[in-house]
Amino acid sequence: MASMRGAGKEELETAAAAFLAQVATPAVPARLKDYGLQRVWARADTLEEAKAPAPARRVYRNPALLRHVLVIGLVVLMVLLVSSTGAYAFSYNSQPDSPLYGAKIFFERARVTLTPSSVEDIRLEMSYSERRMEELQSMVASGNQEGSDRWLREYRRNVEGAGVLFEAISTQETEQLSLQFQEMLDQQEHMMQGMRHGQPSGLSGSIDGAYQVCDGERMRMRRRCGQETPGDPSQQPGEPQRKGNCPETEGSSMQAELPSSSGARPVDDSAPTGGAYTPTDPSQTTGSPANGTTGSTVIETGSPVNESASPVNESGQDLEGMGYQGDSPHRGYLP
Amino acid sequence: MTPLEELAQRTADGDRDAFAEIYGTLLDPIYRYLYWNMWSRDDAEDLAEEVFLKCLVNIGGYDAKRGPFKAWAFRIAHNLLVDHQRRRGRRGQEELKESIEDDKSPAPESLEDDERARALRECLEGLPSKQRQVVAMKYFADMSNAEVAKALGRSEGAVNALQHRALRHLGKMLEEQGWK
Repeated sequence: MASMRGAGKEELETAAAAFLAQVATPAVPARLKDYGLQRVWARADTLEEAKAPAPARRVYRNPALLRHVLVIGLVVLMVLLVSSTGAYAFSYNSQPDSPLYGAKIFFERARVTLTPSSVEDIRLEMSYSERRMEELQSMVASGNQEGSDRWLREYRRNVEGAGVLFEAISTQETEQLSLQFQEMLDQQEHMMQGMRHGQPSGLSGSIDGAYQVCDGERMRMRRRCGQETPGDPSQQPGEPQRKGNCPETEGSSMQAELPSSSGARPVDDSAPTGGAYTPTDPSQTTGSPANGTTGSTVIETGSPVNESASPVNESGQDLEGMGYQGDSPHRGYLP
Repeated sequence: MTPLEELAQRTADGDRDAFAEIYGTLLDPIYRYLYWNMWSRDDAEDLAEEVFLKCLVNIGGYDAKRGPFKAWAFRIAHNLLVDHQRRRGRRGQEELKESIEDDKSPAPESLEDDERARALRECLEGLPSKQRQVVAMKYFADMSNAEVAKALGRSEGAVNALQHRALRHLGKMLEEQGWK
């Protein structure tokens, strides 16, 4: 073997082969020789049978695959969560002309839908209508009328939605809430009156529309509470104004929101605008609440004017003859 | 096409007898290759069965144009051996030593044969695994350098170099142990 060192490759190979040939190599075990092939065939057949499992079950049988599915599901969930949270946060202060406004409305509608209590739904609709007013204030401040149609649509949905819910719930339950709702509508009407001046036509049209909605809803609330309007046919002449089962609004005489204090009123009957609500010069108005009935629900509870079944103003002039439309939401400021 | 390649083709076509012939032809060299790398008859037996199972399951994927069937089968054996050794490595060398000591070699015809086998095993243990695999394939599985190269996925030149170094190391170690 010593001669192997330093020798050439062939010599090394020959010497190693000679040594290796002398080494006793263990023979193949009889068990492997005789039965190995049978075992191989049996295992191959088993593998063949197990080759086509149902794909749906494979996920559950394969922990790695199941883990992947779970990880992907979690990632998708996280992405959805983060994106929806981000959309909510970014859209919170969006204006009607913003692309994110749709997201803001979506979250509002979703919240209303997911709230089980109707009373809470009313509260939400009320708070959303307040939000609409804030949006309107922003639009008025910037003179931006873009998206005002959409704004009106949403405002209508909030106010009318709350009204519909009030109809559905018993009066006792929502007694206090209806009071708040009426106060809110009063305030909003008052705000809209103030904002109407000098706006672009699109925005003023939306304010007009919102005013109609607000006023109409207020009238409905009053009817629901038994506070009849001047055009209520059930009201007998000389009969005092019915209070109904709703608590009387503190200062709910509507005079508070009337433009009487400033002398302005929602409608100037003599306005040449074809009936559109145009704030008038105080000097052109009488400042009388009775005259205001043509433009708004100028009903002072217990007012002598309301004691008449016929909408007649203080001077005995028949208001119907002046275009008064009773309960119709299209009163005064509309043709 | 050599007989083994023909047999492989027939096996892929569903001929069970053809695979039985392959089994009879390759069992001995594969077993010996595994044994001289694992030094455990039980392990070599188990792994040989695995090798033939893999051959049978994957025989449809064998392409005679890419090399001889024997090299393909030894490639499977080599891969399984590497996996086995990796698993063994994780479990620790203690188990390996025990299995070597517990293993009973075939009854030696003489004391010298026994000592020769023991000395070779110790020397092979001292070789790097690549060199050991080349020696096992070449001298215990009766494979040509071309077949060894195919089985190990190396060039023939690389196999020649490995073989040369392995034999040199082996000669040196045997000499140190007093074998002449």
